[in-house]
Amino acid sequence: MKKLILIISLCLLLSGCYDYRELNELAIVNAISIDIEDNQYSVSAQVVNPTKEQDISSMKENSFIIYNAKGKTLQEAFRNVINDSPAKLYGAHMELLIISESVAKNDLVNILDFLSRDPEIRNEINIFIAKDSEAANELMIKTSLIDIPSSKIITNMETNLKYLGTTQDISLNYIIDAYLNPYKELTIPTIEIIYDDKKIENQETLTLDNIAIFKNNKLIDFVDKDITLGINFILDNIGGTVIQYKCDSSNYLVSEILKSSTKIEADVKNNKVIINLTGHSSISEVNCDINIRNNDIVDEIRKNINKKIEEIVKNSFYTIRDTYNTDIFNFQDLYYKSDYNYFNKFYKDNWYSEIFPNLDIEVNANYKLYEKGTTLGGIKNE
Amino acid sequence: MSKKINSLQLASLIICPILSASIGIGLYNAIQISKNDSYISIIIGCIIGLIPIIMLLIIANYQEDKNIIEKINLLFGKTLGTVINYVISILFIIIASTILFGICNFIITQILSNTPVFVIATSFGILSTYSSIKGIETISRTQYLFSFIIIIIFIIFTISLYKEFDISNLKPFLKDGLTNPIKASIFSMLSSIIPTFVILIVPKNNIVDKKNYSKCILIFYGIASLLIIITSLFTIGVLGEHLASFYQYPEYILLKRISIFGFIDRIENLLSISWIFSTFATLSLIIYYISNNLNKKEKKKIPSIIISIIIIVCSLYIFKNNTFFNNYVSNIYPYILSIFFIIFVFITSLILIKRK
Repeated sequence: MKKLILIISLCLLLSGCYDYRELNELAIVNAISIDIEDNQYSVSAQVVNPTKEQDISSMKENSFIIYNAKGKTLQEAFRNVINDSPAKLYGAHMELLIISESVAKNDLVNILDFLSRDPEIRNEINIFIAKDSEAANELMIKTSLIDIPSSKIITNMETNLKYLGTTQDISLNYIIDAYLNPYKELTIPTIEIIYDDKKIENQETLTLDNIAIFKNNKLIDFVDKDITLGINFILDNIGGTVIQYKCDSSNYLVSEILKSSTKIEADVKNNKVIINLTGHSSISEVNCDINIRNNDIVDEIRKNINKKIEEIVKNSFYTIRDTYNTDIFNFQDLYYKSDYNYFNKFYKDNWYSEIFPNLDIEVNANYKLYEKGTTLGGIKNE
Repeated sequence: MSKKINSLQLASLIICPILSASIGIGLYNAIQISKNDSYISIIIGCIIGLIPIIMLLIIANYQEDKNIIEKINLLFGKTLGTVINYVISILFIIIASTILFGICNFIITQILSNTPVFVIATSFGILSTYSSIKGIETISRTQYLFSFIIIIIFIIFTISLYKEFDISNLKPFLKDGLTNPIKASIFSMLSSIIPTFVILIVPKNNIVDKKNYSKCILIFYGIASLLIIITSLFTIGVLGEHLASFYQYPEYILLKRISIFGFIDRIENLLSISWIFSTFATLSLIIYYISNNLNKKEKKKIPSIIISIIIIVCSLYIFKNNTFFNNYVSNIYPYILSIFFIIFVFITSLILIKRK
């Protein structure tokens, strides 16, 4: 009898059934967007439509459903979604957060606080800023190949990082870390809807080419893809990219960076940062009349590719330094970690007034040129 | 049931108390006090933790046929000995309540956010009581098994996270000098090592191969130290100073990052089971210790159940909330453990004097 009571009580306590939630009672959220409308938070949740995912007969249905609600606080806004949705939002599978420009400018700290408290939401979700549109619009766009917009955005980002290097993979944890660290500045990638009338059915496309830059945790501006590329070289965010330079008066030679790695050293006392870039590349297009069977010419191409990369990096750094005076490269953190005593004594209190505006960089690119495609010299040289 | 166990089984008993008290309590204090030097304080804590381990060995080698309760009675006399034994039992109840609230708080804040803390505490209480009623052989065999599961989990943890480890997160080394790391190391030593004294409830003569006793204890202490050093090192190396001190359980945030072969991910709950196992094992041992103190007879069901209820009640009613618990762990708990440490220093000194 005692054993029976024990078994029954263990079954009740240890079965994990207490306060359980059935799968069909959950609205599984893939992505959320946060805007500000009429001084209220407007949140949109992209919920996966399980009927569409399972059933071929429901082809006309959307793969996702967007629920929208407003509230004075984020929690209220998310709870108000219940008025619309038959199930409670479940954020454990969320992979994307899109915030509007105004939210990024004024309310970033509230969003970080809300998301970091929630045990359901993962800390590795990707965050983007919707540029020139409402954040919710990005979640509603149906694109070809991938039905669900959030998956499409994540895939786009991964492909961009692998082959172009003009966006960034920024997670919630990264933003919290940069926000809390007094020696780091934030950058958040942007997402933009491009309306192209020439395309069939006026189809919209999403582009991820810019990033937003911050100073003292306040959004100050957006930078274009060329500047972003240089920033990514410095921050070691390059999986691959395309480098092109003029090999004669009007034609280009194009090289693809296949692997890249950045090592940064600080010469704290001379206020100088040495950036060493290494990796390997290949020739993917030659439009000018040069003989790439010749060793000396190939070596010259390699030098030119490295020179071009050095130019890109320097251009990005000096543009950011001189135009915005914000240390998104985290050089302050590098100085702090490299020579704590010297930094504390001479640099800590006058970083943006004296040190960063005079900081100099030395860029040493050393990309090896391994491949030139399947041909020996190319059509123009045969 | 036989009370004989081997040295390996006994030595494995020290891994669980060290881990259960380190994760969430010891490491929390270390990070809050010494920030990115917390791993240095854990390393120093493990080195100075050898002092209580040597004390433990000295006590264990004295009157090998007796357990710690009988030894205290022998050393201090019947009256004073009984008082000291009751004081130690109360201190163990406080330690058990602290560890229990720590794990319950972790579970309700990170995993089962809608489950009442009472249900979780009761589950732990029932299991631990059942295990302690079954006796030391059952407890030691369970913990022996747990030790290997825990070691395997740590190997997975280390292999999966080494790529994310950024050595620059450990810099600047000792930026505020050695004061804070040493303070944190003493806190860490007290909170992690003191609960291991619970294994003294097993008389050395009950060990089948007692000649290996000291060697096994030292080896398993070394393994436990390595596990907590790795945890602290990776917490700072992967998350950095700011994220580590921002989250209540940075170790769990770390586990969320694990992805094996790029597709096996979201296994943090599976891996955090090492902490749950070690808490369960520690509670079993403490209940077993106190029930032996209260009742010398073979039947220990009723004392075990009463002790378990006291631990659950203390845990749920003393710690009103998370903030109270964190303040208690930082400001009061180390001093409670210091009393414990002083009592055992006194016992060791008496043994050394008597030997001469």
